[in-house]
Amino acid sequence: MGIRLIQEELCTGCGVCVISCPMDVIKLDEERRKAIVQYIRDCQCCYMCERDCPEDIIYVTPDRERRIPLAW
Amino acid sequence: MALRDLAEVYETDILVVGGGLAGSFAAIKARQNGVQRVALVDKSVPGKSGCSTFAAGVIAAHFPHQDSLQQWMEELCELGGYLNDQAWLEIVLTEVFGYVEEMAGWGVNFLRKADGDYERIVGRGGGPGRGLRNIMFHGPQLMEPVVKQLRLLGVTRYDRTMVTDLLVKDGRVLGVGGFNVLDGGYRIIKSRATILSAGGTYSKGSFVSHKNLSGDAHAMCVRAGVELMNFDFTSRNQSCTEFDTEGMNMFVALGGRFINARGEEFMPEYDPVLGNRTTKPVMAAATALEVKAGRGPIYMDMTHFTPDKVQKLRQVLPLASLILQRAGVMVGDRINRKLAWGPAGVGTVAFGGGARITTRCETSMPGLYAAGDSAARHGAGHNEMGAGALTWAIVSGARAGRCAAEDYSQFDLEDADVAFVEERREAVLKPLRRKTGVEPEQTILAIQEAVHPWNVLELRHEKRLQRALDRILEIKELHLPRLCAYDPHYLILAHEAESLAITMELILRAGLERKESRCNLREDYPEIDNINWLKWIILRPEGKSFAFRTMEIPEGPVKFKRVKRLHPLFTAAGLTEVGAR
Repeated sequence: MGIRLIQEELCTGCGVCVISCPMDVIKLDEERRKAIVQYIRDCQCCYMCERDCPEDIIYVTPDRERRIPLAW
Repeated sequence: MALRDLAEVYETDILVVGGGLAGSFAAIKARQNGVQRVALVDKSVPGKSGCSTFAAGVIAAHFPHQDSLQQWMEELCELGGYLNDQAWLEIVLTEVFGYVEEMAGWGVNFLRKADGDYERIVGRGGGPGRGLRNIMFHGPQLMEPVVKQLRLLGVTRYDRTMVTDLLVKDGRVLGVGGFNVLDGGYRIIKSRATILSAGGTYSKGSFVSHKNLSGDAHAMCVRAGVELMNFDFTSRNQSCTEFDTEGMNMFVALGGRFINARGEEFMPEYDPVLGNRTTKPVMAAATALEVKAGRGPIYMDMTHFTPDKVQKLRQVLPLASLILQRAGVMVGDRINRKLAWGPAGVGTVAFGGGARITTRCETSMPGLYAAGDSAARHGAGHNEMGAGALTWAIVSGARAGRCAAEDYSQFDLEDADVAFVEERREAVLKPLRRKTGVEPEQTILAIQEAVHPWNVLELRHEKRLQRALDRILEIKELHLPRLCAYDPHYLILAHEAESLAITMELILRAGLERKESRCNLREDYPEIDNINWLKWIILRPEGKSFAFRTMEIPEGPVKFKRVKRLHPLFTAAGLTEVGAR
């Protein structure tokens, strides 16, 4: 699940989330001037994009995308 | 052919690799000490990269005007299994407060009491009658004023550049090589002095925000032949197993309890003094012993928290609180269910392996300094100095910056050998050109499957360590030469997979060398052996292998007894005789 872009129509293409993402998950679609989630499997659910989005249109779920082997 | 035909070439006087708290402090102190050209390179973006941004609200900070240095030294040496470098420990404790004050001046929000003094809390490693105290800050806000200082001081930034290699010639580091993660272009940054502060790793495990920590600095040191130490201990944080979160230190500070499958609060059985505030090594071993005894899985119980405690969590851990709300665990001013709990990755964050450094942060290679989790945590011994990960990042980072500033003018700017750069460039970019091959995430998963089970690194035995090492070596042989990357983003993952494989090899090889129980329990060597093993294990990469040597712990103000006894955790678990040798 990880990052969800909600209300895409309100994205202004400012690129703040692209810079905020430590994992290089979000890119800017230059043609449409909108943020796109290109590498969802690498979302680490850290909430930086949601925290920094000036338009408040990003929602992050705590459910991780990748399976991680647990210790037990 | 010239270097410029192979790469974009930049140059600086001091180069810092990694923009977490240690690296930022290093860059700031280098500039403050008069170095004109200071540059910071990061595979992500300083202030977002690594684990400092996600540090869970606490810093162990000794206040020289009110705390006893001797008491803190004694407590931290006890926690550190007496494997601490006491000279470093004293430096860390005496210097951190000044930097905390400096950070407050930059605008870092620390929690304050009504009279304006720092509010302090007893966290992991602390308890009744003990001196250890943590100060608190507002989660991710920490790094914002720090990054602002980088800007104000004119530190040059090379963001989104993944460094893969230290460029070495005649036994000296001349800068770094790596690639631009946005376009895959090869880059070289030449420097007079280089500071490695690119973090450690938690095996890209299940801890929020630690997924871009892949031991890249450890791998660089291995390739360059830089001496390493402390890989015989494995740092292991714990977290919720259902979803990624942080904040355990605050959870237990506020009264969170470890519960087994029978609903029993078991930690006081293993650590009668610190109970649930026990240290990471005890926590890792105790939970593993509970699971071994058939009393797993493990839970973190905070359902008894009063509204004021939940409010404190929201204040200090805004990120963890948001996660707990979204997961339906924190509802209003209550925690409504216990969390499934367990180890969240293995590696070197907060304590454990890294480059061996002097008290001036010099590594074994001239021109190269190390700080933060990229360095061995000399002051910590086999533990984390309470909530001392940031304490170490701050003090070692600042020292590395200051000492590199004192030294850099002795080193000339020099070009690396073209043939060496050409070979490394080819190897680094090769996964982009493979049409068929192994997806890096498959390799990362295979590495995690080899080292994550509790009976590999928590509860150790030679046979299981060797089996895991054999698997890692197999992965190195079968996967690494076949890694393929669809684009520069996947090239990051390919190199992270390689870094992880190298780091896990170091951990398993060094783990096999330490034939006693201390930080991590060995079923085949169940005693704490202060007669033979008050030693550091130092590794020197030699070709494709490693040379090991041990070094006696130097004497310091805190004295230790040279005795040998069954590890008390085995006794607590009712195991009076553990596995035959």
